[in-house]
Amino acid sequence: MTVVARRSTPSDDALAAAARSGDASAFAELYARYVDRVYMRVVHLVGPGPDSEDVLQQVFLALHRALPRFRGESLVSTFLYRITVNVAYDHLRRRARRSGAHDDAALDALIDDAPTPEDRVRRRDELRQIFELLEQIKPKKRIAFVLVAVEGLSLAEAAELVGARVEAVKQRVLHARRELVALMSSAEVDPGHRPGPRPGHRPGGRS
Amino acid sequence: MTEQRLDELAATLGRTRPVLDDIARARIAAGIQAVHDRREPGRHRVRLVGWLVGGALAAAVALVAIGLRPRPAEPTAAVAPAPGVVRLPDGVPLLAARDATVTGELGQATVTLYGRGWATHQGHRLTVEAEAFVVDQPAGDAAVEIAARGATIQVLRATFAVASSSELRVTVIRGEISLRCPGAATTSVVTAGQAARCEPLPAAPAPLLPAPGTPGGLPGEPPPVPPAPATPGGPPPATGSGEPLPAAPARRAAATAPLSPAAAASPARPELPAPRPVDEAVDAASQTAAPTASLRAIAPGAAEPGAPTPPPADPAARYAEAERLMASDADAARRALRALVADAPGATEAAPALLDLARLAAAGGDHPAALAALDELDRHPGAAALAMPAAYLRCLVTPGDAGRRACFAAFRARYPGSPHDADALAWLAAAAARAGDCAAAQALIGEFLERYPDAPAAPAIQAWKARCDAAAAPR
Repeated sequence: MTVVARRSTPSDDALAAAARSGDASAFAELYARYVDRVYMRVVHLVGPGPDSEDVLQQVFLALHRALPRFRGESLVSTFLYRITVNVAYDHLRRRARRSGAHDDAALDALIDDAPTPEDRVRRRDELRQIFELLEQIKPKKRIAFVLVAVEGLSLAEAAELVGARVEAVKQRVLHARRELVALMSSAEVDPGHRPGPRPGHRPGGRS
Repeated sequence: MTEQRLDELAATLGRTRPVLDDIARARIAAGIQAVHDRREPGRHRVRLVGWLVGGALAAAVALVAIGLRPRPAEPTAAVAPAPGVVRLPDGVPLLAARDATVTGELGQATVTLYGRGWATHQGHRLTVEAEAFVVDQPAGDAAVEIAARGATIQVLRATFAVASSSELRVTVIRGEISLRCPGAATTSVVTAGQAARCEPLPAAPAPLLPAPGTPGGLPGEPPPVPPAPATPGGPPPATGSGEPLPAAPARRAAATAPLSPAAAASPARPELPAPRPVDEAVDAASQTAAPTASLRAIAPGAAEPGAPTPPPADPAARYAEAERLMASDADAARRALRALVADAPGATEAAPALLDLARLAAAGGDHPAALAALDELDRHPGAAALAMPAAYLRCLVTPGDAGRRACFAAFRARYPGSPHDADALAWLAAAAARAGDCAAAQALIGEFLERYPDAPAAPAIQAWKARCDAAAAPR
């Protein structure tokens, strides 16, 4: 019988404590343990492509800087996901609004279970559409919508990650839905029309 | 209807499980490790080797080697600046051979070159040509201006890293910098924790000296550098090789300076043998180490006509070439990957190459060879970044049902929520049901259907559920 774990598996808290005291291998283990889940969340929040790798690296660099302040008040995973959301938010604020530039290859990389080519094309179009829609709402609403409506987090879980009250997150999600539905409706009426920013809306501005 | 459509779009996005490319996984890990090591410089051994070549005239180029070797216990390829760095006067270049790390003080900045490249300065203006480099200007009242691949970076009391392949990426670690991309009219401010890109890079600048392989140029050397000014008695430029550069290697390196692009994700990697729990015939076939129907056949390529062309020297280019071969010639791809690991064991690409060797073996049904490659990867310094995909592959090629069950269970415990979790859980559920342990199977089936109701294996798992329900029904 082959045993996978050649050594006992340390807990996240043990790894964080070791990493805080400068143990590089402990930090590497945390990285290996969480990189895929963080990457998935990053792609959902900011979209696929080179940006997501940049953000991913920034998340773990930020974790490296923030670990000395971590005292176990929350799960290590929650701490890391909070950093992920913050870094993604900063990235979305700074980035100029992308005008539908997700290429087919970047979208195709997200599809791993399409049974037929037609299914693949349909899902690719759906992903392009949702990313284009998300690009047109403000970052805070975008993040709240992705965490709750896309990833299925509860309002309380999402609130913990974004550092806001539950009610505030609920309003962001509702407003995001309203805006996204309005954008979709206007696109249905005029498929060639891409609604511009609403009066008073500045990409990257406060939301 | 629009609300419903929005929910459908959101669900499509929610079902995606993006997987990070192995090269990016290892590269990001190495970058983070480099930042970690910069904060712990005393933990690394330093080996200083001096070598001076020069002539009476100022046009001769002198070389001094500074070598750094990572601690073998470090999980990723560790690179760190040497504590005792060389201070270089104006015009004297800092040189780095491939796979080497070199640090020098150029003016008011400390520059660390990773891999092949050079750097030189005149006063507060630096010029850098390297695959990756870090600039640290901890103090001083005058800004330093760096020219790199056509971009201009101004820094004052900051630390930043630059990686250049198909595009130039700048990551600020401390302070802030101003970045102007090639051809851009405006300057961007990039602060600590942020990264910026200039895309795409212009063609590499023409060398100031003849290219390697041409008369006047030595094959196998780092990219051409500007001639040193007349500074008799001045310190020689520093290079990162631990030994004198070869005068005439058996094969000529690819001509000139263009730095090889980082290996991109290749769709040509052989598919992993996915566990198909319902198809017992397929599953039985996987246990006998025969290739399953789910494996994409890798057609052996035709014999190469004529004399073989020498492989490119740069590990990134060699890895890219091996990836291209995976689509058409598995044997050639294996040879290329093996040679890369043997020639450049410390390169970032070496660990992903070992993982690809394991994948190729698994796709060909050679499970013992796959396990051997995974064992070799386990011992590699860059293994930690690829631990998850390696662990999953190990489970797929572990012999025996019992061994595989233990392996998948341990994999799920160690990497909860991984991109392979659905397949691993499906395999465990089906294996339990197949073994007649419906109590255990039902628990796993319930978890699968709750977490992954739309996964490809869902219908098969439903079928196992029905079978266990029927077995449990009172007669």
